[in-house]
Amino acid sequence: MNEIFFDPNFMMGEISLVALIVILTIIEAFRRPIFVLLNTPSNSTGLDRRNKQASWFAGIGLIIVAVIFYVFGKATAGEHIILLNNSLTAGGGMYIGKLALIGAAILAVLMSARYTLTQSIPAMDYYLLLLFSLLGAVTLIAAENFLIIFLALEMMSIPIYALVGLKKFSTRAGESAIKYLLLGGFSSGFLLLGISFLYGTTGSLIVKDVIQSLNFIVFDASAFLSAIGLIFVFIGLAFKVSLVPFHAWTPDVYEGAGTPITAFMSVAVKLAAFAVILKIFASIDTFGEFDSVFSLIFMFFSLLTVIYGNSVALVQQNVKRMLAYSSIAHAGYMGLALAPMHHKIHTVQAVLFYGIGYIAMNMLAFGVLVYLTRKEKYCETLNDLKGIARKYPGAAAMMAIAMFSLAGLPPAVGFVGKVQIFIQLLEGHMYITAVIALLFSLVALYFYINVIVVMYMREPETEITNIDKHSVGPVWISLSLAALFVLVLGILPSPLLKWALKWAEMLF
Amino acid sequence: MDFNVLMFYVFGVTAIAGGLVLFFAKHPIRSAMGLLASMLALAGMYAILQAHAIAVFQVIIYAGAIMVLIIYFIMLLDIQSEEYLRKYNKLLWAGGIFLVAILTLFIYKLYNILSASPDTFTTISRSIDPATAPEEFGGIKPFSKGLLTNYLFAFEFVSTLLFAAIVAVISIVQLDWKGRKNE
Repeated sequence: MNEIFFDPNFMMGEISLVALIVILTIIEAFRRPIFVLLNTPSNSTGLDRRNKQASWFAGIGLIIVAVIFYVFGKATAGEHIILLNNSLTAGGGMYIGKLALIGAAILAVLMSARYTLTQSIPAMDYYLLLLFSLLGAVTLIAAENFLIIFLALEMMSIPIYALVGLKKFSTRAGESAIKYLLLGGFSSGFLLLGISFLYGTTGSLIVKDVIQSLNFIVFDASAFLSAIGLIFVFIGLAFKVSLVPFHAWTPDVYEGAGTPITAFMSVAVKLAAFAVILKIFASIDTFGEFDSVFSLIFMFFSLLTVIYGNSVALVQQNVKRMLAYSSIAHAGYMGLALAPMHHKIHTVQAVLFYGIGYIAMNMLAFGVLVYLTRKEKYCETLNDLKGIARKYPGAAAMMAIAMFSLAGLPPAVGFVGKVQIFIQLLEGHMYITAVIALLFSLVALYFYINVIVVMYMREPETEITNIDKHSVGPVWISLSLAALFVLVLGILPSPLLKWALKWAEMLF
Repeated sequence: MDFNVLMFYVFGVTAIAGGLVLFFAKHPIRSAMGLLASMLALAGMYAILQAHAIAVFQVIIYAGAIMVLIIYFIMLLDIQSEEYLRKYNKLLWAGGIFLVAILTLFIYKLYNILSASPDTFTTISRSIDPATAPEEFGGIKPFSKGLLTNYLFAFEFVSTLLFAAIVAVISIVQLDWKGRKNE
């Protein structure tokens, strides 16, 4: 691993992403009629036409960016370097993580093409914010430095705060946005306080230096303060991945936000934040006297998350809310892998594998909800899904695949992910934890299968109205891509395991 | 005890007193003034610790710009109704208990650790001594140099972050808020 100040080859992906953002901003600046700002009715300004164009621009641009990320990532995969004075890691398997996040964004854009049309949301703003958030996420997983971690985390979250509220005629969305903004600011405060404690005791902001100079063997003032610092950093990041007890915002925000945003938020933000948690905590060899404390913290939070998420999801009537609680539970499963405290590359691999697989399955589940949207009515509750299989068999089949995967049943990627996590728990001799987690994933079977039962075996209460015909094609593309990933990676997980391992190597 | 150390403690006590006023004052403007005192005292502490650039930023940005913003908000919101205050005063005891618990833990641990190594206070007074500071420490020159070399990426990233925040604000503000309905 060597240090270079700057080499454009290693950063071409990020540069092209920023370039895409700038180009889209300029295009938007010139084609938007100024009087839109003055509350004119949206139809008279050709919003639909401009939204369609915006979706094309954003979608094609993002695919080009993804290709650039892949080509340059592949070309620089032989080297592992640190750029810009310990700001970013680059090269090696890092491009895999970035591609996973971009994949989530592409799926979200494909769904949004329909969503922005049916809801008459100014689409270009929406895509710009999504791209900003993506830029934050790809920087976050490469960050080498607590300063960059904080900035990238903000870059990832601030556009999401706005995206959550970016919904016409909805006070619920505004409420969720404010809730998320306030709690997000609160969690950033925790993170910053933790970082300042760590800086105070170690005199460095660089993650590797901080970890090396942490000394928990001798118990003194600096060990105490740095343990507090690490706990605060963990709390700040746990807010983003919504571990219990820092989950309170999740159901409300997921329910209030637009469905594609919920999908992107639940997978990309979670994966990126977990990558940082792993980067900081998995490379610490020993916490010395605090070993049991930290093990207990990880186990306590994660197990509580699994138990809480799965039990509360049982009683949800709203599918989006159910998926929110299920996403809390899945964060718990990912967090559990940290608890055995035998941090090594396979733990990180298991978590990253789970995270990447989770992108495909959750995107699939939310994508079906986007597909079933009507102009005046979202498809959100179990009642809305009753008997949907007769009228829309394709969508019902996709939802069934997603539910099987989320429940962790064999032919899907969720099964392999769960197996990986449980192997880590068993290797760490945490049998009781493993049994409890397994029991609660059996509980989870009920509410996942319930969705399938409702779709296929219940009679609809009222006649199912036709869905909007706006931009159904892109949604189908995203659904089939996600379903393909879920099934293919579920049956042949070895390529994804290899990719996750390559990425995991970069985090040490 | 020389002058520097004395002033260090004076500023420290002022900062804590300002924090207490912020916390306990009934009227929001008094709270804001407590915060102002606390920030100015912190600026003084930075100056004593040879971080002159940071001290100036503290006065200009925090005590100047951010205080104006806070006072504007207080004026705009005009929170004076008794009922509103009482709602939050009811929750004060919970915060108080939490604060006392955290403080006790903190002071107890730190006292244990400090009493084990009695030279900590000499270390503090040595670090305040201007003679021990490295050359050019804390001035505007090393600050700007660091900003454009070591922290170049962070610096540029912040500008992108501000751009993102501007886009976020514009996209939220231009929505048709009047047409919103409860669902």
